[in-house]
Amino acid sequence: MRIFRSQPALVPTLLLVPGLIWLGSFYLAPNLQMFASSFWSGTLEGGFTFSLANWVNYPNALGTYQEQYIRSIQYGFAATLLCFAIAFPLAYYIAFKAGRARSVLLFLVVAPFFTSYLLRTIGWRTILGDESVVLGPLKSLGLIDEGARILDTPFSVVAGIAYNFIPFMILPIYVSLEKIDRRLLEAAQDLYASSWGAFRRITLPLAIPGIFAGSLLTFIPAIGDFINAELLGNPETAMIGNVIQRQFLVVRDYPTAAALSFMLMLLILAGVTLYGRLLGTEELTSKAI
Amino acid sequence: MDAEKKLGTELDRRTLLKAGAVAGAAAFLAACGTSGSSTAPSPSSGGEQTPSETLNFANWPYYIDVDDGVDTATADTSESLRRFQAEYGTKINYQESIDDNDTFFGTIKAPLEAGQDPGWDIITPTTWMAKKIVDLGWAEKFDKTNMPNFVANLADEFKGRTADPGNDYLAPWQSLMTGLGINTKKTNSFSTVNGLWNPALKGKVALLTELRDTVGLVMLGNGADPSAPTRATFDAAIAKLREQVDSGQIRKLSGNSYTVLLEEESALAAIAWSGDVGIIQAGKPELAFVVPDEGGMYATDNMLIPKGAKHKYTAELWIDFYYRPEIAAIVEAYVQYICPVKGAAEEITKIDPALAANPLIFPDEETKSRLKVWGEVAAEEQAYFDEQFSAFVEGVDS
Amino acid sequence: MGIAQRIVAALGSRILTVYAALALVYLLLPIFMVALFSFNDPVGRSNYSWSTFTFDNWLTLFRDPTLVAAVGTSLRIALVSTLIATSIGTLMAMALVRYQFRFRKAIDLFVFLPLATPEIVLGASLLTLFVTLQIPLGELTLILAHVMFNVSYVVVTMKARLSGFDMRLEEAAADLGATPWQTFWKVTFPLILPGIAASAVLAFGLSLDDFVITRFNAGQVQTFPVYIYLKVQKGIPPQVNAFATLFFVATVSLVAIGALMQRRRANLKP
Repeated sequence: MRIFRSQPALVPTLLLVPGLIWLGSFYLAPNLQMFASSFWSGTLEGGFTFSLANWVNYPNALGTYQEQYIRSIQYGFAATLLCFAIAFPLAYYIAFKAGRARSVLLFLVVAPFFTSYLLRTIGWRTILGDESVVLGPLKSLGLIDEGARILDTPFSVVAGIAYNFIPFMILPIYVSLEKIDRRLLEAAQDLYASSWGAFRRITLPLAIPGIFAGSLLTFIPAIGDFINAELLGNPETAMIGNVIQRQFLVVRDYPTAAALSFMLMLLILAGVTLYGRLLGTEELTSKAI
Repeated sequence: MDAEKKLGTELDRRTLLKAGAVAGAAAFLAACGTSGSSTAPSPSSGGEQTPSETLNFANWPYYIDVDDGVDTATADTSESLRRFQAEYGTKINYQESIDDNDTFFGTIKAPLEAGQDPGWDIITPTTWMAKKIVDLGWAEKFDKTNMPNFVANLADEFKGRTADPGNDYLAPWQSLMTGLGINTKKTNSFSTVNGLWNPALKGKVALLTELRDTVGLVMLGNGADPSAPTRATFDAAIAKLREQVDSGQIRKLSGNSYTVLLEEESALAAIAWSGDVGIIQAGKPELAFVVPDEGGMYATDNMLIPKGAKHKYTAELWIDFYYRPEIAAIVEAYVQYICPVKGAAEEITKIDPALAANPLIFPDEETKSRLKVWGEVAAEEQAYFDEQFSAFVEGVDS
Repeated sequence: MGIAQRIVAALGSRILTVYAALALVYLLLPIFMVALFSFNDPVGRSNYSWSTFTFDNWLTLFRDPTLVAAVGTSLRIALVSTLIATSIGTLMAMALVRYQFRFRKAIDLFVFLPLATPEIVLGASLLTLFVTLQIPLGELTLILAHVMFNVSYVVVTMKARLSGFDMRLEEAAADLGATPWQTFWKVTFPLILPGIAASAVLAFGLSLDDFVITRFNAGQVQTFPVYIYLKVQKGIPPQVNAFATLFFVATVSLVAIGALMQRRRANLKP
């Protein structure tokens, strides 16, 4: 790991301080209180009491909701893959083939996300409805079953998540691809590498930081997502986010909701660490070029 | 301009608002002779109190009259709010902030718990949530010397309720029915809860994530009584629901956005609220609202003054103002729910006789007899119900 | 390259273009629907089935003062929170990528935590904090909240851009006599600008569209997404579609104009 010459620890500290103060005050502090509430027992009306003996809230919650945890990981994973499959070629095209149009194209990709999520989802529901412009003709032609549907299935949940995270996947990947020195690729060509070879051995490795960032920015929020399962799912597609939402707001079982949340965060952190190690990003980010 | 294009309700509103303004003014001047009384309150005995400059009123969407061509009610765009300002000088900060009892409660719980002003002077939770708030000690008690119209004109059915026996904390705003919303064009019309389980409707049925509505109706379909729920009857209803979900009959358990499903015909039959169907019918006349043969659910949204509200006196003035029949009539004619104010019925029919025949506003006696309110049970019992229903919604195997 | 390889390369290029075009269409399809329905004259209140074409909704864009206020509030909050979050996040990312120090790994992971936390927990815990500190709910609390969740996104995005940054460029500048300040602004900043822009765009979009956290910390202030969610049950006015379309068109137009201006400036250089 390169260390900036003759820099005291002061500089990184100064750079970090604003962010740490902000996150410390508005994330850490409130969530420490939330963490404490995961050791409560009781009800809103009767009052809650704190006790370390309530650590059983955790295994209890996990036991009840493991299906939802597993489903969330599955959907999150599938959505991230789908998102990557769509975003990477598009990012590649914009970075390498789009020339002067690239910033406009990039914003064409990202601008949809400045419209409201709810409106976009309703738009999709109109397009993919049971008798819509898309499905209607297919059904009258007998190509698909009358009772078949795309909406309100696991597929629509995953597709919905993937669709909504495309900017998060595409922007970091684009940013990584864009800064790749084109001369490296020219050099590879001069050395008789095929375009696939150059891609595999130069472009892809250099894009890894972007892929890493993009997939994290997609996968992490995707697991905890609830809105897609709510609007595009059915009673059998509930994710852990829906459970936490309901436990918190409707059942008002704050200890369980908090326990479920912290287990989710732990799960994600473990996954992130594993993923980072898998991709070897430590070594890659430490290199100067 | 395009008045010819707009069907039904829009044209009615413009007409009735104009008529209402005239009728209301006349009724106000007359001030007596109708079966409800309408008086300006005398100052309370507890010292000098004046109406405040502003009043923070949180309500559900489309739950108050609104001028033609505007989508959201504010003190400038609602006749009833304007009249209040004209009389008392208070500009009401009206916000359509409540879309769901639980979510809204989540936003005011923290300040109320800390003993702080929650930011609202009047909120309108449904009775079961209102009772919870009262029981937690988070509601202000009415000073009824400021509210003579409320005392005189509250419909009798609301006196002596379990939630508020003395009518000291809750002032009913509107009542609504839960029944079935049925697309009569795409499916055979039916009138029973059990008709929802018709295999012909497989994958086209939507239920609500509201326990009292969904489980209530299913219990009625099972022949049980939701006004006195027991673990046995509750569990049987849940079993029925799980069975229907497993067979793929139920397309979705949704919250407020169930109307989207009915609109786009993803659901051809749903458990629905009376007022919503009334709204959709304007664009989709084939959608019918039916109170099932076995019975329907009935609920009321109530005005409540949260503890620590800054403008309690003015809030009481507003509640009282609403309980003047001519004011309630203005609101009522627009929102098409069931009005708890005595004398409003006569006022409405004066404004627009056609509304008298609207079964959503004036359900007949036979229908009313089939409506049930979810029973108030002990806290532990209700907690059991909440847990079991949530497990069902979340897809947890019991 | 051999002929076969050249054919594969050309084919691959063609396929890529087609794929990219399809992907773009896929991305824009629902936006097209949103825009389409902004020209709909709905029968009744709900804007779900097409009835007749009208420009009315665009002409009466400002007819609902609550909607207009909500749009303005959302834009203001998004702008301010993006500026703050992007600055703070960029600084953090620079520290985390370029320096080795004791708690680096821990802070690295800590920055991920807000991304991993369910929104309801973020929203509710913040509300409790604001209530305890007696901070009145409104635009201020929303900005504080939005910056909080946006910082993580900025840090993660910026780290991708900063990693692999060629330090020798900075060293060269230093060797040529530039002060650290000059080096930063003339060498480093222009090179990381695409990353900063990308993070800012993400943060802006996130802030504009946030619902859950906003719902809990807004007090009586209404933002654009909150307005829409509160209307979904009983009908979303077509003016909402119009505003949403406007956001999209405005964003793309601004960028297009910016790109055009850049090209003109480049052409004007001797």
